[in-house]
Amino acid sequence: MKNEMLYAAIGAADDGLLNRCESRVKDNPRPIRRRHWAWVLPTAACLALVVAVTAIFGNNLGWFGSTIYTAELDGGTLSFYKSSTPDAACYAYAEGEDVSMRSLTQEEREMLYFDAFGDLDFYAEGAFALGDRWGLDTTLIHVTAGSGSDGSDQGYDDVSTKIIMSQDGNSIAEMQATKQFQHMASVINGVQVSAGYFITHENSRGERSVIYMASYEVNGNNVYIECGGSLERSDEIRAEIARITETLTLNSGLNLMSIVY
Amino acid sequence: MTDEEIIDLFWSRNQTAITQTARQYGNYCYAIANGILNNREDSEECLNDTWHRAWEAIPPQRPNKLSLFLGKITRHLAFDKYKMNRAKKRGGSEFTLVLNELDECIPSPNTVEQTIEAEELELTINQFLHSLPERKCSIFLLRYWHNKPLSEIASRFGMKENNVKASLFRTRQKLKAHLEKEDVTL
Repeated sequence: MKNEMLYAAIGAADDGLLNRCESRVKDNPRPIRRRHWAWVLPTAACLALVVAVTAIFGNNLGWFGSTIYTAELDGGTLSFYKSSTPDAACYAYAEGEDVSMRSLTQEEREMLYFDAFGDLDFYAEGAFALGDRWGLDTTLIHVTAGSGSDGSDQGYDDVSTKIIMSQDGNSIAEMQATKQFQHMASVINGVQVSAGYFITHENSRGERSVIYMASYEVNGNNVYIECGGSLERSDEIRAEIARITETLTLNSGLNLMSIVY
Repeated sequence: MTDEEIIDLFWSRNQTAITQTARQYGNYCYAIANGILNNREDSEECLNDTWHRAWEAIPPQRPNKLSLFLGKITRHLAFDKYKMNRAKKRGGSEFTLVLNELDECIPSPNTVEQTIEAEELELTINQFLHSLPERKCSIFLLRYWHNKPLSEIASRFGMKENNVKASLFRTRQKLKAHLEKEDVTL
């Protein structure tokens, strides 16, 4: 039989070859090499998804600790959460020929507790909807107050402060920015305050700004407070908005109805 | 106990040599025998014959590597037994008995000419095996010397069974070409 002759001849293989082969026989079996990418890729994709979701939600919810800032006040602890919408805040304008604005009187400023900010170059104006061009019927849309003459000419190094108050029914657009923090609201002087912040992208000079914001509803009125400035002055700005918030929330009897054109 | 110590026992004609050899290389040789015979009793019988052959061969021989020495004896004995078993299966009829009886009249097949042919074949195959890369050569020997299943070879080399099969196929084709080139006819 030819195959038997061949088999017998293979049996006379050199010792050197058999010795080399024998090491394979005596070795423990090696695990079969598999194509790891077949399961690694889907696993990596799932892992990446979990990490991304955790990073986004965890960051917003402050799971990683560093995104939440707090301010300790006599009236409670005010927590600021990082906003996922850094372009949410904007200035409010009362425009159109049916709207008229005037500065608030000293009496009105005191009524709104604005006199507490005498150390600031504080302006306060009311925007009124005019029933007709001659102002026979007027309704207060909102009160805008802040540091600086009109809240828009702040230099970069300054801290910009803005307060907007509106009667219930006249929504404040900026309050949308703080809605995302409603479920994590702090209680200051018995009032639920939603507060957050965001950091802008670098401007042409490579500088970044931080904007802190807080909002609450009291006595049928909406109140929005915003303080912003250089990121380097973040702690100072946060202390400022905390001070303003604490002061304004003391005004539990806030009544904007009493302010007329 | 080292190979050297066991071989010394053989040389001093101490029968402990067989006990020690069986203890140390029993499993190894059993695997070789059973790979060919696939029968426990036959394989164990083959092992006893191996120890007996070793006892007769040492001295005068002094193997460099005892495992290879014993493995070769086992393989040779197991293969002979395989051929004998196959002949028995074919037999049974009166006609087979007649033919077997007539076999005794035929001169031994191990004529000088046939022995020289077998040695030439062994030499040619050794040349061929030396020409192979280490991995391919070991795969070939694991299959056709050790009679290892494809799955076990695959496991030892970290390969898929199909790849082992393909490697063996290519090596067989090369061997065929080599034998044709060397003008070896079986």
